[in-house]
Amino acid sequence: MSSYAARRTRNSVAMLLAIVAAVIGLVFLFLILATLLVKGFTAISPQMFLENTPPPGEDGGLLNAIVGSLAMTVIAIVVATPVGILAGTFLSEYSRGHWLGEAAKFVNDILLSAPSIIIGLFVYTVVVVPVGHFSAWAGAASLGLIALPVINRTTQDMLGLVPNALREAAAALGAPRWKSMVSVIYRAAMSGILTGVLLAIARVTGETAPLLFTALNNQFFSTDLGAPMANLPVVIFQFATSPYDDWQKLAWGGALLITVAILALNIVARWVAGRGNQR
Amino acid sequence: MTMDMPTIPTHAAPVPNPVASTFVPNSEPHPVKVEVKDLRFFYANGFEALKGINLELRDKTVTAFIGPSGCGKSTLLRILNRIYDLYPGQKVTGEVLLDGRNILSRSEDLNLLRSKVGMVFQKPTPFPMSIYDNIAFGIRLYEKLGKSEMDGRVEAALRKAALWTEVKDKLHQSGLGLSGGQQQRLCIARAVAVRPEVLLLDEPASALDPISTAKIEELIEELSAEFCIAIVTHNMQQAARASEYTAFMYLGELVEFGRTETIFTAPTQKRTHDYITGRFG
Repeated sequence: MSSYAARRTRNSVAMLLAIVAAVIGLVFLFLILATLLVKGFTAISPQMFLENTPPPGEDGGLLNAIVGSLAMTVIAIVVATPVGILAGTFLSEYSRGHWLGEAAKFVNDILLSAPSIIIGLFVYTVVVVPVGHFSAWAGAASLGLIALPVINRTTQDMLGLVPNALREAAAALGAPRWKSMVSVIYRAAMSGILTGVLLAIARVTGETAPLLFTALNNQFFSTDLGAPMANLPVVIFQFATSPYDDWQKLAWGGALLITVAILALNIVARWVAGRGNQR
Repeated sequence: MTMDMPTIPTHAAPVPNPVASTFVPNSEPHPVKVEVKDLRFFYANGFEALKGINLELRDKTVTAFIGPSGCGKSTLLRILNRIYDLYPGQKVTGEVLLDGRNILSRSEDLNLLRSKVGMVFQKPTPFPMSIYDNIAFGIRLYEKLGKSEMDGRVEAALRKAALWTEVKDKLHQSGLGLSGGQQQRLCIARAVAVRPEVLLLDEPASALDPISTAKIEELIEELSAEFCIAIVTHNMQQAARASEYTAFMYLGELVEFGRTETIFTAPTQKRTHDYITGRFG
């Protein structure tokens, strides 16, 4: 009986420690989100979506930065998605057990966790320096390089979850391998792969460091992909560290906007994944 | 137990039936469809899973493969459509003749072979698509059909698998929404839809409830009018009920092969007798 009491005590202590740890984590998360909500909400207005970033002391919005972020993210994802899915397909389905495939998987995992500033420096070195100036193309390239390993890895994982029985069943009907991949296996892994793409978008949306080295920023509205382009993370960085109140306010608004966008993407991703599991 | 006896007479020139049986065999055996000659199979690690198998599968006839787990019966089945080829490193020697042509030859077109030798697996494997598309998938691989023709083929296949009345109003719903027994009949329908010549069933009912199992067995008997069927089963009553010939395998060898009623009532091998009376396995 005494050993039972001792176990109960130890259980209570461990439980208490776990609760304390959870509370500490959640308190800070809550503080961050609450501050963001309070300060961000006052900054959000129709003007934010209709006007460009202002000089200090004048009214303005974030239109050029929102459009710039959207443009570069879209380009990055449109390029990274097919490449990532094809690479993930190859590594998961076609190079099993081959040393080159295993090495590529390992390198991809390193790339997955590489600090994004290094990606930024890389693109700066191979694109910005030779061209001679910052550009939206370079920004999209660095975002694409960050999205690529995410999509690649999720594709690998999701194809790995498709049971071999399904591959055998398709083959047993006389389906060539490509046909089985395209019509059966991708379909079975579709919601998972789509989730990966959505998470890659969420990841890319908040990246600042790589854009500092590549797209830089632009005070004006620009659709020229060969020129520097405004984007939300860098504008937030610049405005938040400025001494001007109206700039700081816009930075809070932008921060809330990004956070809500990422939250929405995560919710959609969960919904897509959940729908796939139900089928 | 030592292998003191040579491998067993495989040319099942059927022994006259000494005992009354529930099964009434055709007076004339059907011609041989598949001939297996000195078949050996090695896994990638060198393990010899089949040690020189010789037997024949007759057309429009059900042949059952029984034996304890790991005896090689599923492995044998997986050679007959070369599905084992999906995994590298495994090796086969000997011959498997389908209508006299060796399908183990290097030049064999595997996809074409598999469209002629269909297979149904232990667990139902519906594709993540509609019931209709599950059936049409295999047909579309090798035939270009108009819509009405395709509709007809799909219906015929579902009827053959005794599934039509249950699904005819939801053909365009996902095949994943069916019950386990229905899914398995869908897989059988999918396999017969491509009009194969041989049908391999790898424990097709072992994951199903008794009622679904009974339906599948009925189905097998009906399908045997059209196809050469090989069925692997752990269920000896099933083998006795559903098959005309039975092969008993043990540790990678074919111990005894002959007419089902003979195997179950007057086996010539002691190991066969021990297995079917439940003394091991």
